[in-house]
Amino acid sequence: MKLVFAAILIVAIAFVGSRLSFVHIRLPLGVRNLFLTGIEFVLVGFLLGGAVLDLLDTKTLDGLYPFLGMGLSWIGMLFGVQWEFRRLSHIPPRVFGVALVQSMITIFVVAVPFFLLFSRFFSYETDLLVIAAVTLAAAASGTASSGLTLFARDTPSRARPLMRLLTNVSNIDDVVGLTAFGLISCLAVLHADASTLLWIGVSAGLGVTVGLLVVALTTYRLRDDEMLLVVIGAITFSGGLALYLSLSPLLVNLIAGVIVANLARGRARAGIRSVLLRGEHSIYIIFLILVGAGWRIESVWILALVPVYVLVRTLGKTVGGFVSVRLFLPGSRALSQLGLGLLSHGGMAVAIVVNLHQIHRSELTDAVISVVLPGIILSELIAPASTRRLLGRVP
Amino acid sequence: MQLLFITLYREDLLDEVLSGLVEMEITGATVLDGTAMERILAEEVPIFAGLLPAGPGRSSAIAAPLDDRALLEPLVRLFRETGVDFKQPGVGRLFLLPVDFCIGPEGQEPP
Repeated sequence: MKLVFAAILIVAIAFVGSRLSFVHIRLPLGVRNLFLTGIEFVLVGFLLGGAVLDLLDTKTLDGLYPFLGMGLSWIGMLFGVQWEFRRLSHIPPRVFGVALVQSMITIFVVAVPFFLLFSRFFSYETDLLVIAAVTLAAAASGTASSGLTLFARDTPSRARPLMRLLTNVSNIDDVVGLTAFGLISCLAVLHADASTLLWIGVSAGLGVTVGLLVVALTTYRLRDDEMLLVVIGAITFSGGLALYLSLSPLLVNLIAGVIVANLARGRARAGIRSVLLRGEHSIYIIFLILVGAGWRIESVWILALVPVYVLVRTLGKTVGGFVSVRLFLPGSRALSQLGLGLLSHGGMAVAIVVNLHQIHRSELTDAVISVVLPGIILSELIAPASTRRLLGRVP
Repeated sequence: MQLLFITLYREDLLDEVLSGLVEMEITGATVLDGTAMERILAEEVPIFAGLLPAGPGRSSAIAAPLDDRALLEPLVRLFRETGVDFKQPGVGRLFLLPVDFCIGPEGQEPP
């Protein structure tokens, strides 16, 4: 009974929330950014969870577990279907270079200190420590484009090229973190010591198979409800199988999405995107509430790592922005502080750390979540001021 | 010479519209990705798919030169037969505009 009540409550919040959130409302800049990214629903979930009101206790959450897997798959597929290479040709290759390199540097800058910190505080085997540090770094590497829309209207014309660059980079750079996490989740230690390469192959094979299956099933003209059925069937199947095999539903569905985007017929591609986009806000809110409800802060000292995480991520983004601009846009000295405009965190980070928690639960993965979730909230609060500062510096 | 201008709110019908144009031997059309004014004013933000050209509130604009006005009625009929009925809500709009001036070789197609 409690499970049914909890499910109805979450769906009701998601329904109302999807209409009230993710839009501009008149609040201080940082708080407005928080509402734009929807991260406040993590706090709603936290209040409903065992830590406060206990409406969503551990047993109820276990019953709602499939929703989390489905949410991860939905996010992966939605992120993947936008990679239609033919249509991305309007973005110059050097912008891809900036996005990918700054993201890779951020991963490196964040992963190394956190590997050392985790080694000091946790007694786990090295591979697990590497997985935790790289997952945390992968979560840190992405950027939410939503925060940039705060400035879309009042950006002066001299800063518009920078705004376009920031938007493109933020739309692209999640792919690095998502891939890094997908690959690290294939490490042998999570798969009874079976070959890492084998599991990378299984991840890729599963993604390609599901993608081709969706392409084949949508060859004929489908009604909207039939298309919804195909999409939900595909993501449930691929997400369930990926989690069963301790793989990343995010990566598997990203691959499936890319296959669909590039091989499906135009009508099918548009129908699948439309289905995924229509459910984006509601599915994401349900996902965030469940994440918040399951969030346990086992020890307060772990929160001391949150400012470290935000600082190291800011350093990574700043260094990454500087190096990537030097490499790919050497004539643009004004852009060397690009990283300051890429501090907004966004939803993909939540998805990545939750995915780790789903395939390996331990004190270590709890710690990763407890560092990243408050880190995201903190980043969303400071990101708009940082972006404004960067845009104001354009000569 | 006239200019056929179509705003299409459903991207899933784009193939049908382009195929219809080709079938009526209307070539050299340009397709633009656009956004409905209401979507911009609502200021909704993408979460995971910022690169996507499609989505609620997105639209395509198709501009094609039309030399023969008589092709219009068969074209509209063909569109309707293939499921592109502009009288239905949410499909789009079709305009035919007189061209006052044009420079460039006749029948030129994009390189």
